[in-house]
Amino acid sequence: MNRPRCRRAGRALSGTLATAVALAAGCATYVASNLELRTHLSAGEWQRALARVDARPGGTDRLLELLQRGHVLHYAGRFEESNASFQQAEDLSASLFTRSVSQAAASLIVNDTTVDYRGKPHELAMVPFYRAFNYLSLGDRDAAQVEARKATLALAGAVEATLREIERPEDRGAARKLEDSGVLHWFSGLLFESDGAVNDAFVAYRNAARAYLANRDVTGVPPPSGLGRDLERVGLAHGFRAEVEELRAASPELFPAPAGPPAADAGGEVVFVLESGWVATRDQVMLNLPILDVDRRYRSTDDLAWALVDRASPAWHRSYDVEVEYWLTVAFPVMAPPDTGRVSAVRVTSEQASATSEPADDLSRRAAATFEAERGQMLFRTILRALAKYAATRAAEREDPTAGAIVNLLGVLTERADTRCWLTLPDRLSVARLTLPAGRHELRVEYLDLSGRVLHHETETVDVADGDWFFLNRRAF
Amino acid sequence: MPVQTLRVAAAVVTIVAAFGCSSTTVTRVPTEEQIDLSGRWNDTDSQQAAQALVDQSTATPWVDAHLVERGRKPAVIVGTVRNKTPEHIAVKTLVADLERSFINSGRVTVVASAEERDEIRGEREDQQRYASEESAKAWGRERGADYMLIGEVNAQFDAEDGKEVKYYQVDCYLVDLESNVKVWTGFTTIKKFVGRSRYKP
Repeated sequence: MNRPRCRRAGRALSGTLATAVALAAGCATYVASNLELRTHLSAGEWQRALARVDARPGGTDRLLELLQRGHVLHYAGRFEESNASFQQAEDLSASLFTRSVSQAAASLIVNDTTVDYRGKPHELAMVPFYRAFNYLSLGDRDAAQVEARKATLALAGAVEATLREIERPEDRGAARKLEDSGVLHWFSGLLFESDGAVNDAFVAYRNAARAYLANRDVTGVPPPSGLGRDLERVGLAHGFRAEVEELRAASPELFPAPAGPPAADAGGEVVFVLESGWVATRDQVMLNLPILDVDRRYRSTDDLAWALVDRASPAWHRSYDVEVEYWLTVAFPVMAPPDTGRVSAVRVTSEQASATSEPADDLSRRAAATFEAERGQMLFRTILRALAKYAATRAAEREDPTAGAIVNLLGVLTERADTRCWLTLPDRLSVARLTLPAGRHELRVEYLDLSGRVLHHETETVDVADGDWFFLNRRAF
Repeated sequence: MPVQTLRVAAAVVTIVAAFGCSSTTVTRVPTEEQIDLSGRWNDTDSQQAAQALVDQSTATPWVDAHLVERGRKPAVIVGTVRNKTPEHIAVKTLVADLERSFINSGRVTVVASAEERDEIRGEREDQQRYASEESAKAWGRERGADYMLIGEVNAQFDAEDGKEVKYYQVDCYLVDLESNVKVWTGFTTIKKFVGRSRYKP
């Protein structure tokens, strides 16, 4: 090699390595590099949490930035700014229906984080929930109604987007189970009823009941007894007796026997939503997948990749008459257990009444169900990428061993599991309901652990008028 | 090592690092130009709906009947138009468009809304203290509305595979403030198809 050519080669080599190092600089997964956000929120340090969100602006994580910004601003009581951020997130989410071919191509040689994050169904469905509370806090009940009407549409749209990513029928079936959410229908129904739209409220309550019954295996949450009371109250008072009786006959568990004295006819309704713990995140693991001597029989890389997807299952065993030619190593996400937090429930007590919250939804289980539905397709993509990297390394090696080493290094440095998720969401939602007579009430709100012990308490003041509704949401980090 | 191999590797990495770059452009456009970006309810929908409703309303016999019966143009107050859609709609813009279309029709008189009246009364009260006697406006000479226009916007959305059909219906009612009789009801509809491309470069 002559000297100028050698220098050019050196420059190219150093440039490539520098880029590789730059790419590898953010090698920690999304979850690992953003967990600090949870620490700030737990401490009530809203400004520091916002600074953390803003520290990594734009790029393919833009949607997460907007969602988490809106969420932090919601807890900080900056409701208008929170709504603005959530609106941007909704607009971006809609525009992300159009996929970038260049990003998809990049994901085949780098990793899945080079593709715009589109949000998971359980995440996008929570935007109208928080926006509704924002509007209620701002005193704009009409806008909160809009969010109630939007909520279930948002979930269905997000599931539809997820389904587009999934090829295998069994995985699509699993994703379809996520299309409905009992708590969103119930919450919408409560908002409709608070606005006097009893027909809409009854339809929402009935949809909530059906969703709770159908999704019990996904969320592990049975229909709340409060929902049964709502169905009965609205249904019997507004001409839906036949529908109520039909539901009672089909699903008696929806209508548990009353636990205490009947609520007063007059008065106002308090709806207290407790958000507790932290939603389950995704961790990164390294998977070793065997490429066998018999794999030459596969006519396409896709067929080989699907075969390797099956081999990633713990149930797979190699038969005795085949040899492992190569171990393919890939970085892949797995679901981490949720951080359930110490608070399990809340007890809301006034002079006249007391109620303990009951489970309404489990976002961690929804996240896990989404992951299970997406797992096969994600693994297929990951294996395709690993096979491409493997082929590129072999091709480069054939030309020059050093080039092969560099391509391999690039492949290893850029391999990273996509663990992106809305980190600040709670693990679970639970709801406590109180009917109070008109007047001013001091509510004692006790946060309980699993054994029912009071961990801490606070006081909320509500001014109740006949027929009025109060919606409160509080977070136990 | 072949320089070509390194160049290709460097180029691939550079392309990967560079995608996602974007720029912002701003262009002034005439306000009457129809621009649809997201497919949501926008200024064009508001203006079209208001114009259609007022055209319908003023073309029906209630205006002439009022003129014959009372000898003057009917006074209308535009009340609340409730948004019952799953979209945030600036109903104040729709109300303003309705008022403007009524005034421009020349067939009816539009009186100030409750919110506006409070401000005007505040000014009149101020005049009683600080304005000269000949210029201060008198109390009790407000023109009361004969009719109130109320309404609501409903919508149905249907979406699949990046395609969305949005159907809006704006219903309005004109109610006689004295007798509660609905002298006119009308509606206008807007249907939109929102298509999103599946891929971009």
